[in-house]
Amino acid sequence: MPPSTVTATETVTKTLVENHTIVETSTATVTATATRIVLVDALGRSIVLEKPAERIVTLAPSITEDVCSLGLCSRIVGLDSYSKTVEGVPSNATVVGGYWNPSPEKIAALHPDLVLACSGVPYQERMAPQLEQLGIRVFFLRCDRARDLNDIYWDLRAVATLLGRPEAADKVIEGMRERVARLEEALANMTRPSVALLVYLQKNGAWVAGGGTFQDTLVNLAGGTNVFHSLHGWQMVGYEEILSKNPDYIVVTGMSPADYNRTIALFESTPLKNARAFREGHVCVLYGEAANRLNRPSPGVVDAAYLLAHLLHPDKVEAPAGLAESYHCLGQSG
Amino acid sequence: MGSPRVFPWLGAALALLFLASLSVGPAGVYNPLDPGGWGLILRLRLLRSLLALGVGAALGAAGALMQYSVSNPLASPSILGVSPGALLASVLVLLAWDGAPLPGLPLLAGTLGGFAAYLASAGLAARLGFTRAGLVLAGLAVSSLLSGLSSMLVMLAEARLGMPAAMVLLGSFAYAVPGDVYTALGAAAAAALLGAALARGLDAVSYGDEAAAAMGYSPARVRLAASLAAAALTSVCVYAAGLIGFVGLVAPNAARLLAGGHPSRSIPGSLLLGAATALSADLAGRLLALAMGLGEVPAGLITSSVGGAFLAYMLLRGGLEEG
Repeated sequence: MPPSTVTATETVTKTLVENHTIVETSTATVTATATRIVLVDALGRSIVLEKPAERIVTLAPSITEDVCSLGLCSRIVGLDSYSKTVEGVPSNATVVGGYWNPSPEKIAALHPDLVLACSGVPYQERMAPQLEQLGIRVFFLRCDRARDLNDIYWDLRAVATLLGRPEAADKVIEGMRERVARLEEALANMTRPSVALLVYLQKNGAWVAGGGTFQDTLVNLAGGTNVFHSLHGWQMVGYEEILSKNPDYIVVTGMSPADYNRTIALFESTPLKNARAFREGHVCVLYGEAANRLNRPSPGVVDAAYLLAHLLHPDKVEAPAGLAESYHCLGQSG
Repeated sequence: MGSPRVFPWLGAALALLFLASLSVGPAGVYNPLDPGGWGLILRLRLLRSLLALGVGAALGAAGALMQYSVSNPLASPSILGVSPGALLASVLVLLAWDGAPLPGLPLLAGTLGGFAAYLASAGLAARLGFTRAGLVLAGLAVSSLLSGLSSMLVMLAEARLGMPAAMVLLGSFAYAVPGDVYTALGAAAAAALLGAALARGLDAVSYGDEAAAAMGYSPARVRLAASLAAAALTSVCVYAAGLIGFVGLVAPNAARLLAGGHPSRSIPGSLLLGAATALSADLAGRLLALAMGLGEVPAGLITSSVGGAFLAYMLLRGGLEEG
């Protein structure tokens, strides 16, 4: 049964408006009388908290990372299974199920005063009215529907506000903005190689990041152009389409170092072996932390932008410390 | 063959299943008879159990009505494409009204969509001579067409229009809210009434059209009423819990075996067995979640796999030629 459906057109039009205004108008909706917090979530619903949330459940790794980047990790009592490996989460936090199939009763058993959910995930949206019936507040972040850095800033501000520490978000966002500005400065007036970002490579094609995804923004930020910018959101494309776009670089995200060998083997055994990027050694596989930073709309995306920039412009930008072990390019030593 | 004495047993089994369903879940085992354990979790489990009960009962009855109306033991909402048809029509209405249609409109559209799918499958099957295999093949064609279309529309609605992800393709009882539960229980009550009202007519039709006419029934009208009722019940279930396949196939066949072939016994039997099937599927999903430390395992997954095996058994048992 559809929940109240006033919502998302607003989000869409808002994000279409130029960036700065969004952040400003969004923060303007925060009205704090004494400690009472009223905030409109990514689905356009008004959420009221009597006081900052102390016991929270996070339902996506990007949300968990948002919370931890604000230094508020210790308030997490429950999380989705992917979030378990996020650095700093309390070891006694309970896994309440997967990102796709969270269990409402596991969440209810924790008696949280706030659940931070990810908009666009069907079962999370279905679960919200159910938890609200039990008096548990659910706030939807833009999360995987983030289109650019401003949406990620919006999520950070919302989380910080709900947890009663708005100034923590300012600090994190300030840090992100500074690093972004330095990156843009370093890459000013550089040529912009074309990039295909394959978020998931399969035997018969790949899921690529198109326009309207935060990864599209990251490619731009890294001094490249996304060859699939004209597609909307994440889309599945065939090898032909990748070949016809003739990208200078192909960046693939996998899970583990083994995915590098799997990827190269796939390239060799399919028409992708004719791709110019493959012949020129410009195929890079990101795994582990590097893949997480690129695929999770949280403060870590800035590291992902630096890493992409390093791949595209190695003489201009250094790879971020800590990510050196979690990617491999064809051109590098075989 | 079956006997009416089976009903108390069915009722008792259902009560036991219901009690088990209050006790077990991903959050662990609770004693539902201990007032200390009454809390948030029991409320969640009560809602989902009632939803499973209502949806299962309505689907069981819908399956029985369908099988009598086309005189074919393989007719059922999921095989004839009724559920995806209902889903497709509801999504179309949601899209046409920008996500905010008048209340009740998606339900109405779903009923009509489900009925249209039913007509398409039955019509196609009639051209194939209405054998068991013919019915399954016709249903396969119609349901895969409609499933594909409805999945695409759901994707479009979610991605392009930023519509909330309200439509879940794989049915689950885990995310029950009171509104859905009332809808499903209403459907179950309606199923019981419709079954009682149509039982004699359907029985008459089962002796052949001429005999039915001699008994004072119009076979065409009885069939139309039964199939419309089945489509409406199925559509309500899709609306309340998503696609829960094969309950409408398993329950009526088991009911004929246990309660006897007369519609006045097998329709209520199918209703009870449908409820038991849906509850068991949900319970199995929860046990799986508990044992493997997962979140929620959708009941639709369980009914599909068990139902698929049942379908294979029915096909083998009946042979291809039998009507």
